[in-house]
Amino acid sequence: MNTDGLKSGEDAIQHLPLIRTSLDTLLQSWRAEYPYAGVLALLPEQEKDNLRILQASCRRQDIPLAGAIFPALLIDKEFHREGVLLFRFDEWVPSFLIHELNKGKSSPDEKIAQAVIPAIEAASLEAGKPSLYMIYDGLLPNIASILDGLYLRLSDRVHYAGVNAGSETFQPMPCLFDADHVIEGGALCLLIPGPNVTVLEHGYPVPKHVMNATSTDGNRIFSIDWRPAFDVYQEIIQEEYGIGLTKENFYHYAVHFPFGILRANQDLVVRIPVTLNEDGSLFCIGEVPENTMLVLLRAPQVKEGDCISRLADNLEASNGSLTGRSILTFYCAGRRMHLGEDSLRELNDLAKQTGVTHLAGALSLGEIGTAGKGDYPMFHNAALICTPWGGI
Amino acid sequence: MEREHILSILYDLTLTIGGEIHLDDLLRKVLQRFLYHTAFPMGLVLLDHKYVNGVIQARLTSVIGDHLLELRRGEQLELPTALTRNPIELLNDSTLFAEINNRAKYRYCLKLPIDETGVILLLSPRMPASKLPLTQIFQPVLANLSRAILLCRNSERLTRTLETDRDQARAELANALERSERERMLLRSLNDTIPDLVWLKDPAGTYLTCNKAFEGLYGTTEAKLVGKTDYDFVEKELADFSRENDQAALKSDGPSVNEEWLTFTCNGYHGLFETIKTPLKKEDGSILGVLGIARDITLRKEAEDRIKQLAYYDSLTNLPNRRLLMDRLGHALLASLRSRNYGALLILDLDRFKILNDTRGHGTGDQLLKEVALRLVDTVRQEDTVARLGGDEFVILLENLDSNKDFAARHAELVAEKIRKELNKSYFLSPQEHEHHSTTSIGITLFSDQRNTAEALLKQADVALYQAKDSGRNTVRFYNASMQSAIDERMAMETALRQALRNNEFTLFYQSQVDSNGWITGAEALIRWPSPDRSMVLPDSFIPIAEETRLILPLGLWVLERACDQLKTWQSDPRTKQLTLAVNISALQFHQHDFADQIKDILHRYEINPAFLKLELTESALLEDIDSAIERLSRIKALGIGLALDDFGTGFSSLSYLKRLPLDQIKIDRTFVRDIAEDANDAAIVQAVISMCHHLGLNVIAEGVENQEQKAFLEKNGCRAFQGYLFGRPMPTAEWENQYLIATDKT
Repeated sequence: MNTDGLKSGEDAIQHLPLIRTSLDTLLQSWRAEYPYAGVLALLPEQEKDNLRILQASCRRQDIPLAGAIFPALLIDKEFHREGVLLFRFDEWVPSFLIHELNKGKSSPDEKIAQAVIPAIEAASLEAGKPSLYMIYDGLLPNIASILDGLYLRLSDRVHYAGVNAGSETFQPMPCLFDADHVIEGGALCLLIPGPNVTVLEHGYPVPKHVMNATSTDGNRIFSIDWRPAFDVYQEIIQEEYGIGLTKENFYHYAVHFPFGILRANQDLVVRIPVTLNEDGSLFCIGEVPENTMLVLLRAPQVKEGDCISRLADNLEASNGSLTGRSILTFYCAGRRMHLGEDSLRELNDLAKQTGVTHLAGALSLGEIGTAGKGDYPMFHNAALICTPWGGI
Repeated sequence: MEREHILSILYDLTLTIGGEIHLDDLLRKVLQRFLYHTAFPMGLVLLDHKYVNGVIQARLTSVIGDHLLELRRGEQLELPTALTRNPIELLNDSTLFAEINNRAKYRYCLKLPIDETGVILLLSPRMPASKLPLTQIFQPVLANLSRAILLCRNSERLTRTLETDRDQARAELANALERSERERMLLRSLNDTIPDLVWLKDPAGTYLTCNKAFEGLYGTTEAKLVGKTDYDFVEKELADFSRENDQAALKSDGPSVNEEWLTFTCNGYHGLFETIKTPLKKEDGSILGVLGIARDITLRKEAEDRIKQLAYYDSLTNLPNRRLLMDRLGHALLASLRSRNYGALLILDLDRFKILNDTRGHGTGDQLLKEVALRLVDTVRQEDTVARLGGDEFVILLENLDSNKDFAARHAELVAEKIRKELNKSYFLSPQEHEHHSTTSIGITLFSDQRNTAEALLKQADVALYQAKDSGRNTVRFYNASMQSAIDERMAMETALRQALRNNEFTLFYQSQVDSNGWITGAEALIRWPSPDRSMVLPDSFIPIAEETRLILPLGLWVLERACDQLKTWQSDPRTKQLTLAVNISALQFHQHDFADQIKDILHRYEINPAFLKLELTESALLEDIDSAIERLSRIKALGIGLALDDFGTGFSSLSYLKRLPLDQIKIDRTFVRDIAEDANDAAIVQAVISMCHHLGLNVIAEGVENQEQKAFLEKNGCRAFQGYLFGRPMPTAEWENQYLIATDKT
């Protein structure tokens, strides 16, 4: 992610209470110092009703605004449910709030491509390939398909990164906004000039047992190995971990035993089942293509995995030393549920191993990234996704 | 584990390959799945290899993950053979794929040849980590893909052919539909444009369609009509009638035509319709239904009736005209010949109708003719024909009277008399007008076995009519052969009269008017016609003809001018300047609207003392329109001219009118004077007239005084002026002047 515009000072990322005077004062000073500035805002779900204060303030100060609502904010090694996290772009980037993605004749990827291609074609390549940072409404059922379609249309013209916003309860909620609108069922896209690279990691190990998702529809798995999905899920958890899974305790255990979609390069794409339907089908965050090779994952404990180490190494490998800088960090809400307080340990380890001054971001409902620089974009769960940034 | 893993990938790829029938989709999805499974960021498919000069030319068919290469999709690329041929290989020699390695970003290439068809190349800047033996596991999938490509191409070719055929068929169908629709619309438009009612019923009588005119008159719409029968719209009786007609039409080979009066309940319209019903047949000869076309011929019929009426009937009286009469007379002659029964042809005209027309206007005349027509129709039998020939001439054709000529004649005479009496009754021509009296003259001719033509019969009746008129009008006469010669003579007289006028053959005679002392006070100018070939023609012979032919007008004017010229001569001589000259004025002459102006002009031209000019008018001339007569007489009187009423007592004498007329003198007619000594009635009338004149302050003169006895009686009763043979016959100017001077000298 391009953070050139943010290198000018520690104040480029601010956590503020949603009070008019505080916001006006900060935005006025930013506006005075950076006449072409714009703001990316992350709002905790609890503050959603105060969004209008932020929008009004931005309108008053004539500062462009784009942002999203997440379950909670992440600031350093803590999660916060109050205030707003503001990221200042010293020079505002092309941003697109695209609503009703799944309505109308055009496909969602076509709508996004139509919006961003003119900006991509106009973008300067001096700083390197731009990144298309996408924030989707987490309740969209077809984000993986949208990414497939976008890759066909945009191919290697951009780096792909992004997260899902919305409510932790998975209730519909307008969660994407600019200074004038707040929408649901859409996407917010920012075209950020290069060269910084976003890195994604989940650290789930590849298990030996492989299954096949023999019948799926979007986010829903009907059958695994030609048997009802829940029966197979229940049986494997019993066999491998000795846990008797029932319909009643499903929600307690599911976050700890997600599915993984296995790729030939041994990459895993995590799919956390979140709903058990009456017919025994399982509803996941993210699509599960039919005939996909599935594995049953056991969420790792912090001490067991090398997730943070690999993440820190990849960040450094892709972006150079991050010492003294900040990282825009999204942490999967499902991972947080699985790890509980250990998630703070992971964040602490991440800060230590990267040497960054601050971590700032939010709990996310799905993460978008690539295996390596310039790779095919994938929709993940249970991951951390980091982009080098300025200081807080 | 690895085996399961590989099988799962192959399973996914196989299903992807088997799930597509379009080449582009197949290649794109397969490529996507390869990238997904292998984690290579970019892949492409090259197809249709050709070996040329040691290199391979292939078409870049599908690309994912490289924007610049995507822009080259469809291009023919030249590649080293090593990059396209078997076996599957993982290459790290970027020179091999330099042609497609933009910005030299790729270092590794997984080459996946698709038999001899093409190759899939997956490229990456770094070697994706994989524990799978990528160069070994995909061979069966690629073989499968090769066949799938073939199948897709065949399918697409077939689809294109089918689509072309389909498009062509659709286009043809669309054209046919459009043409059909256009024709249908045209037909519909035509149907809806024509004012006739058009409809189509199936053999069961159910409506299939109708046009706008039908909808309008029946107050319905086609949508409401279709599927229903006449029984849903009209009374059962009419529906039964229509159904019978339909069934008759269905059985017929061609159109059947009916005329029927129809009443439409929705708007109350009642009209005569000519209905043509035609059976419609399908190509196989089976009956499709009955096509009905109904034309409203009410107006046409009315026009035809009107034309017929105009052609055969008199527009004023609605009686048959000459044309129809002649037709019927022709038929009557034939019928009479067959039945041996006599018929009769009566022709009549109204006595003095011309005077009515001239004095009261044509409107009044027409009113009288209409009334006469009504009376005639009411008088005769229904089977008899009453016709108007024109003017005041009417003809009555009586058929089948009797086989005996005498009886038939008697019958015809009775009818004629009945007519005459009926027409003599008073007329009230308008609420404002006083009653009018008219008489009629009737000529009759009989027909039976005589081989007469209609024209000849009409002429005979006409001759009889003239005879009736000659007999003093208001009478009935039968035709006989001698009549014709009289008519011919009359015609000759008219011709001679016209010629005489042109040749100035007339002259004036003067008859003295004297006082009780026998002294000549003046004279009456009397016209005489010393015709070169007829000796002296008497006025009674030519004056009626002159009146009928209106020659009386120029003749009367000539008399007046001649008399005034004479008077001027007299007034220029002291011996004759005290003489009064009386001039007769005919009714037609008097009724000219400018008659007073004519008199004034003559007085002016001849510069005579009007006090010595006396105009004598007949009673009938004055009483035709008494108000108008009074007004005109007053204007003449104002010129200083004397006015005398001639022939008093012979017409519809009315004392009340007499009182209103500005007269100076009354002339007692010679018919009363003639028998005054023998006939007590005449004597009484004369006494009364003289008495009345004294009472009214009028002078009185008696004409036709031929002996002393008559003079004595008249004088005894107060008459002081006389005219007659006793005092001198009418004589030429010079002779009369001579007589006068002699008499004057004596006195």
